Amino acid sequence: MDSGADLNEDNPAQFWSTTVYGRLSRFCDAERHGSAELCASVRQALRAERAAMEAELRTLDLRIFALSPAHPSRLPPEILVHIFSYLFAVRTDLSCYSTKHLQLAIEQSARVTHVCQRWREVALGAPLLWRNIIVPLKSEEWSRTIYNRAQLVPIVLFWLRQKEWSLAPGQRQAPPLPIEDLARVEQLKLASYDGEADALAKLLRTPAPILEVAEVFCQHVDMSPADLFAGHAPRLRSLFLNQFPSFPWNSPILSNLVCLEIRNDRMNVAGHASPDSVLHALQKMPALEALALCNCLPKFPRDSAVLEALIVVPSRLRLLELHGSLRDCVGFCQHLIFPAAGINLALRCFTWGVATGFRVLWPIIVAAGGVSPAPFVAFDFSMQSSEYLALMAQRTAARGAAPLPKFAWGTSNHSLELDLEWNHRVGWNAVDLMRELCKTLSVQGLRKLDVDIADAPPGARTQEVTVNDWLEIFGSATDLRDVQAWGFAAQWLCRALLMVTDDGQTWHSILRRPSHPWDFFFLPKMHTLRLGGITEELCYVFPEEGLQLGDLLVLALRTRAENGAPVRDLELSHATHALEDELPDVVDSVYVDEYASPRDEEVRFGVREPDANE
Amino acid sequence: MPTIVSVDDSTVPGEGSSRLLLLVSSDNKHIVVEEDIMSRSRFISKQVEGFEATSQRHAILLPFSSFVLNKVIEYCSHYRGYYLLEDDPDAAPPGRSPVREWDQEFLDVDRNMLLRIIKAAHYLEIKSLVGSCARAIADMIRGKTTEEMREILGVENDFTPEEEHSPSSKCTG
Repeated sequence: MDSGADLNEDNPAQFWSTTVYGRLSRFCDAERHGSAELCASVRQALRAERAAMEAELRTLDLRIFALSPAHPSRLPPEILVHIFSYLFAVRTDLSCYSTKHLQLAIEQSARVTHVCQRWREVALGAPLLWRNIIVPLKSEEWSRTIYNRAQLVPIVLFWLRQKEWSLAPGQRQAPPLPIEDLARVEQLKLASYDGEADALAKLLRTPAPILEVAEVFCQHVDMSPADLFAGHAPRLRSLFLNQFPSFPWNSPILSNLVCLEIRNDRMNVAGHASPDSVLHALQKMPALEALALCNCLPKFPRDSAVLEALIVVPSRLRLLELHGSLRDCVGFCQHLIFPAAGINLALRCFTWGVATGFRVLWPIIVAAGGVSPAPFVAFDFSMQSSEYLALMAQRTAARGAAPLPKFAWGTSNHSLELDLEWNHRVGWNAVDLMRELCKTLSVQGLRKLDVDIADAPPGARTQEVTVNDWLEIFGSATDLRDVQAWGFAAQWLCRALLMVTDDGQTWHSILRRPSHPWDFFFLPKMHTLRLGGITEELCYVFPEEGLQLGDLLVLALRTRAENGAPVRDLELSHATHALEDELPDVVDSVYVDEYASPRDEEVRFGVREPDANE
Repeated sequence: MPTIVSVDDSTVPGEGSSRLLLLVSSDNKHIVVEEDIMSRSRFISKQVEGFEATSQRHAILLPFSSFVLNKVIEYCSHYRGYYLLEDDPDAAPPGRSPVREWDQEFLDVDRNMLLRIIKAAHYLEIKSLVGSCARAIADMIRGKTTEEMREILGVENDFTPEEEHSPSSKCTG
């Protein structure tokens, strides 16, 4: 600030007339007589002076504020707005299904304006606080009020799933909207049901000049894909479409996308795009970092010279998720060249013959990534049976008659999850698949393992994880810390922990030689162990000897603790509390859940009762 | 401008790896603190720049008590060397990232103290602390009725009965 004159606090009028106007007159002269350069420099000097004066004013404001009492009603507006912004905040990751949270947020904002005059004045004077427009609220008037309070700031529009969704289609009513177009919408999160489809389609057909994020559940929306945002959404960065019948791959709205997710119901796949249109579109999306194509992959022909030359190099891609038939996933990956590192890959392929399918798919993935699977920071893989579709159809036909069969097989962020329940029903050898995957991926860096074979039917043992499987497949998983095993897997894991072979020979040798040198531990770094799904059949490891699983566990954990490889946390379901008494000296934390199904009530996974004759 | 008092050089301990500042609270307590610790405060940083221009050492008088000032210094000491987005949005984040859960424990104080801290943080222009305090205050009144909010924060209802019951003055949602 020019120090040529001091602010005369006694006579501000004189200060302004003598000092400020004097200086202004200099500038007026410059405007009248000066060159363009002089005017520019004067403008610059004025701006600098204004900035300095604003800084001075702010300092004065702060001093006044600091000397005022600390009382909430006297907090300066900046602080109150800051507090309100947390109160009004709607989590940006919320979808249009989070009705309750959104409703609470908007009710909270209403209450703030009723606390006192000052709070009301501050809240209503901050349009940004009102940018979340939620439809439907309790009344159309309230939606409009919020919209008006937002004044001209960009808004986030949530169109919630209605409470009346269970009504018959003809009875549903579209909620009144405070807007007719998307001109001011920066983020759009919509879920439509058939009663609302027309209103939603009308809105989605309007241009979206400032739209950055769109998340739309489009069920029942009948609109031409090319009409989406009238082809005008130049700032669109993230697009999430759910149940959109045919995606507009040739639309100009795609060019700046950073994230694209299209998720369709597998049972209702329609309107597949052609492979070349998808690949051409992806070639024109240089900023793409995340891509999820779920049940909307194009159908790739077996041989096509035209397609062969179409290669997509998504240089910024960090996340790729594909759901679809093995052939389409393979076909798609064959046209990709992944960046050098840092890819998070998730695949859900359905096919006949899972292990074979994996052998087909994996080399393609490796080729897309270069020469090794090194680019992948996380790998989540699942193959699902084509019979799944048939079962889903059956289930749909007789809703509630049969539970949804579970099947999953995958890895995620250094954890491997294996659920073999459904595998038994379709006769796949999941152990072979697991062995194949572990060979390919190497389990050395694996930190967490979850193996579930809880409901394997009788007679399925030969295809499940045996002790030798454990030792062979996971013997090299020296970094494994957290292990969860259910059912048969739990029993075999306990035996593997003691390296008890299937015929029990090692066990007998341990009994004979208590000072067995424990120079090797299976899973030496394991510190968390959860075992569950132990049935009557599994309680006895060697039924003829009456030896319970609990005995093995106690011996294994005690021996590990004595030899520097302790398990810290232990969780057991369907176990007796006797185990809790046995283990506290070797385990830091034991949690026992005695839950058991009625038929198993009399047998509990625990420690063997001492035999009087022994 | 804040009041700056020149002090005798002997008041301030000798210079080490980080220069020392003398902060004087409203209850006239003199607190010596390393400049590095307080660099999170834009207000203090600007004062220090002023010192450099005059090559003269100063004490910085602050309009809040030593109790509040010590809390602020504790906060700044905890996050010394850390990058906090609110305080320096333009800087590239280094490898270390602090655990902000610490803030919750740090701000587990009574209402009046919380309000004094947020005012001090605002005065000192420590945006991260203002944000943490604002979040803590918001958490205190989140989900409460209007009356409960008034009670918790000691705010007086200054609406006239007409204003309070007028349909145009409030949206009941």
